[in-house]
Amino acid sequence: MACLAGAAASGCKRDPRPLRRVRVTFLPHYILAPVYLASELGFFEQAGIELLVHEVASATQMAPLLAAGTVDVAFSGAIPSMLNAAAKGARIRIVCARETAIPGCIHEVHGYRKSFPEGFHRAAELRGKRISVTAPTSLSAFLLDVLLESAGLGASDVHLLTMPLSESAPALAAGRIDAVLDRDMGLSSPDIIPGPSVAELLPGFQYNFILFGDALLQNDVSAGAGFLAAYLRGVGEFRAGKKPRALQQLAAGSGLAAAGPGPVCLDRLSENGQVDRMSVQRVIDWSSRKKFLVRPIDAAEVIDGRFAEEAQRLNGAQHRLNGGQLP
Amino acid sequence: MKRLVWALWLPLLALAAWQIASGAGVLNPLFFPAPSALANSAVRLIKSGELLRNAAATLGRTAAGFLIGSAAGLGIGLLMGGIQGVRKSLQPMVGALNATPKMSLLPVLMLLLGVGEAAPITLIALGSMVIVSLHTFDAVEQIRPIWVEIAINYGANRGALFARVYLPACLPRVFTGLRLALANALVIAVACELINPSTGLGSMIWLSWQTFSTDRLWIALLATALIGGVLHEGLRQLEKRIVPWQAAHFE
Amino acid sequence: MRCSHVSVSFGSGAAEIRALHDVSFDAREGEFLSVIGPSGCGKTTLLRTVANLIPPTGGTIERVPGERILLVFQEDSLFPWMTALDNAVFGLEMQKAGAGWREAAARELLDRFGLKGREGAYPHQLSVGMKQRVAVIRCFLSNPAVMLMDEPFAALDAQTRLALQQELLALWEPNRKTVIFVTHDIEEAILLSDRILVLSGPPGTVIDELPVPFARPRHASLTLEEEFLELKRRIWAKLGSARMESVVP
Repeated sequence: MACLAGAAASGCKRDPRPLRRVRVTFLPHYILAPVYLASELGFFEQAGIELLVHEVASATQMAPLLAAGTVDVAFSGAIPSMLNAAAKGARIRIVCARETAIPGCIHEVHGYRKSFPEGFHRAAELRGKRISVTAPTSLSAFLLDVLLESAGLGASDVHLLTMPLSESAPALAAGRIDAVLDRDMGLSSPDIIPGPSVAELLPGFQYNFILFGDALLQNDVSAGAGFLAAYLRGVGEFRAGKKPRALQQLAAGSGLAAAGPGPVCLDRLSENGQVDRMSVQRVIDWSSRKKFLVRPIDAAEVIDGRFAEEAQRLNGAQHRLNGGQLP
Repeated sequence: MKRLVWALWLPLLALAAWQIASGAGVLNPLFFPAPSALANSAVRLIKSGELLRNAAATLGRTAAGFLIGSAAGLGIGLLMGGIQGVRKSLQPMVGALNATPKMSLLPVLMLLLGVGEAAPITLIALGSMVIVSLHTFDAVEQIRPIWVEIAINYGANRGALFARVYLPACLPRVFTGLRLALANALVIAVACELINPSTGLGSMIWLSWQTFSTDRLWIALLATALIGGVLHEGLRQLEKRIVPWQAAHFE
Repeated sequence: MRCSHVSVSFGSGAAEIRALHDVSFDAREGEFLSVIGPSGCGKTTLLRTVANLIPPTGGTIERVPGERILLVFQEDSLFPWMTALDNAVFGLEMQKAGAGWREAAARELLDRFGLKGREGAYPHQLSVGMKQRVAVIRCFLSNPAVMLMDEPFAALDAQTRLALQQELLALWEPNRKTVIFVTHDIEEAILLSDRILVLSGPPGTVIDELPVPFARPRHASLTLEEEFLELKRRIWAKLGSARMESVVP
């Protein structure tokens, strides 16, 4: 756990009034810029929150940390590890939406040029190809299934391989595999070409969220809402063009060091945090079909919308307080 | 029988303590399902064939890599021990390779050999080769000149010298190398499966984390430990047969 | 077996170490010859030169062609990977003697010298005395023309040494093969041998040659008799003056 760099100047060192410690976990990635902005601009401190960050190297590490109460907040997708932990009775709830699928902006499919001599335009061209995903449980595996389904293909029509993105990118550039489905291919090679868009098949699909653990769920809504309000203010600032000082560092962490932060599709960031039940249910149903869950669950069981609602109310009040100007 | 009791009382005691702690609600069942619950899952996983299939996959990779690597290591170690030029050329490289974390080579091997079984088996073989060759080389170095002098004095020819002196003089250390290499082979096999999951116990462990299936996680972990223990003991038994003078030290 | 003007040195130039200088003697067939001298005087080098393990840098060694010369070492020289029995028959095995016969012969000697029931034991399971017994038996079973023994009992306690000296004589007397026995123990030399070469050094040179007149078989009680003590005093004086000479050239 470390005090966030931006907060070090104000919140972490001096302690004029008791701050509530909130421990968060995430995979370092530039899409977390709003968290860093909110921290650097003192939004968390204003909400009475001291932020402690526990970075992890793999998304699957977050569910155990959240379920065990080692952290209070996880920035994660609705991935099977989270869903199954909830299905098994862990107090974990999806409280805020972060990202919505926009064509060209999320996990899209990329191909090896020589494997697609006619060009890579339709999902049907994946038949018989070697495709890698980071995990059979990952969001990219879900999206690949959606893509294959759209072409009337099944899992048996392709060779599915599992490898980390750090290996799949060079493997694709070398032609060891034919296609990769993952976010932000951090590799620019003339031999790698984009394929058909998955996002077009999933209009309005939310794929990244904020999840709370027991500590914030048990308290009255205000603490959790204060946290989300600060985060959503950070989103507003980011969409308005502000960049956190830590962005360069984040870009390096997300494998984009060479190209810089790149064109971030800002519209994909949710401004109100309202969770779409259908998006979560879709992943639940898929996970259930794949036997990743001990029991089928209803999305309503794992969503708690009160915090985002209250956060919006808080930010609305703040907005009025500042005479209609964003702070 | 007595040995079995000595070997098992501690793990069984730990399992019993675990069961009692689970019953008393001390352990969070989300992370530490009671051993009785694990036993049920284990029966289910064995019946469905999943556990045995994965154990067989891990064992297959371990055995293939270990056998190839050990044979190569034995040859290289003997050459290093016997021929100055080979020793001078290879020793620094083998030493450096020994200190290299083998897992860091996996991506490179995958680029060279593709995404199939070749890369992990090569990596396991490499790990075994390094350990066995260093121990074999060491064994040749440790041969006391007096043994060779006596054998020659008593009229041993080259064949007898190799079969009755060099070979048996080397065997104890070679076996130490083999035991270390076998454990290391299993570690690399499981680590490869954790990084590039396909089949095997490592993949099972990895997939269990992906889906928060702690019961399967524990079963895969315990199965890995069990295989490690059985392999170690198996090699010890073989060593007792082949190197009885050394085994007598252990009794 | 005859040595004439044998010299041995190691290294060359300034770093040259002269181990033996102009050593001449002969070992008669069936004779028990002891070589005695202070530590570091080159006794072991002499033995290894005779055994053809070290080439002489000067002089000649005449050996009877085809005769086998075997060494018994001071240090632990058994093969750790062989049982007492396998160690004992190693020489016979190399001579391709029949397995049945060689085992029977070895068992008989092992039984006789206190190793009954220990035939299957590995060297690390045997006492120092037992190990040296096996090493001596290994040599005798091989039946060489000449046996070279390099302080084989030096590492033993007094009691065990006395026992092994008697056992060695019991083994040797029936067949009386040539033995060259190196020791720094004067009593041992007198008790065992027909003749004693006194060496001084380094570099090792023969300073005296003394016949031992006592009749065989000999017993330990011999060491208390006046003539024995007289001979012991004489050798002692020789070794003493040799030591003086080496200090004051």
